[in-house]
Amino acid sequence: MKLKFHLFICDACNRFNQQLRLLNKAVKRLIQTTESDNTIQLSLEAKARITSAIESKKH
Amino acid sequence: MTNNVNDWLSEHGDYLYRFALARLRDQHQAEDAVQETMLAAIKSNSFEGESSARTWLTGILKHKIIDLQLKQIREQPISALVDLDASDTSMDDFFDESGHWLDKPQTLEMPENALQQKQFLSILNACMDKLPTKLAAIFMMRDVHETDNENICKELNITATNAWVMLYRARMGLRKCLEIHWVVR
Repeated sequence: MKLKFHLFICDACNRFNQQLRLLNKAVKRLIQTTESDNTIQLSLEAKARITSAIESKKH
Repeated sequence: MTNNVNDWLSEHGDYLYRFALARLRDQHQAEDAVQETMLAAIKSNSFEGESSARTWLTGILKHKIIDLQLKQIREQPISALVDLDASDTSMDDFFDESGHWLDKPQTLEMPENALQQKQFLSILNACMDKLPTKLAAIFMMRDVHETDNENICKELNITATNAWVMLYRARMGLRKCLEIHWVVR
């Protein structure tokens, strides 16, 4: 309740809050863009290395 | 189980890699996170098919990413991140004696469609790269993964004030960088 009242009268705090929300939204959008970019793939070397690590777990 | 894991690597490896890369922002760390996830999947042997393999693997990967981010932060003394001895860190950096902001946040002008613009996202990407690795890691943990503040403080053995200062510096660093490089059209 105290916080709500403070935010009601504090313009700078409101701007700070808005900036945080905007940054948060923007970074999440950046993450989504990378996640949906199908041109980004594990390299063949990395796949081979991971496969070899998996195989070594068998023994 | 290892046969399943080989199949999972073929089917979901690239997706998991993109998921990790988007959050760790480092190719080698993202590859390591995928490898650790696959090895943890073999070890746990607990996939029961109730969710999809991708969902299950992504759940494991999320933990691996947080572990790597905590490691990134731990590698440097916290005092070096807040530029002060940990015990001396206080809110005084940001507020005056009467509790008012020393450096009032200004309005960050941004058009509605900015988040859809490639140029904006590439500037944001560059700004993220400019942040010190550890500050970027705490920002991602808190604001993106929404990791509990209490857990962050416990894992890093820091006070809530230290965490707040680090987070504030990360957020303000990003904000400042966007303000400088993003020209509102």
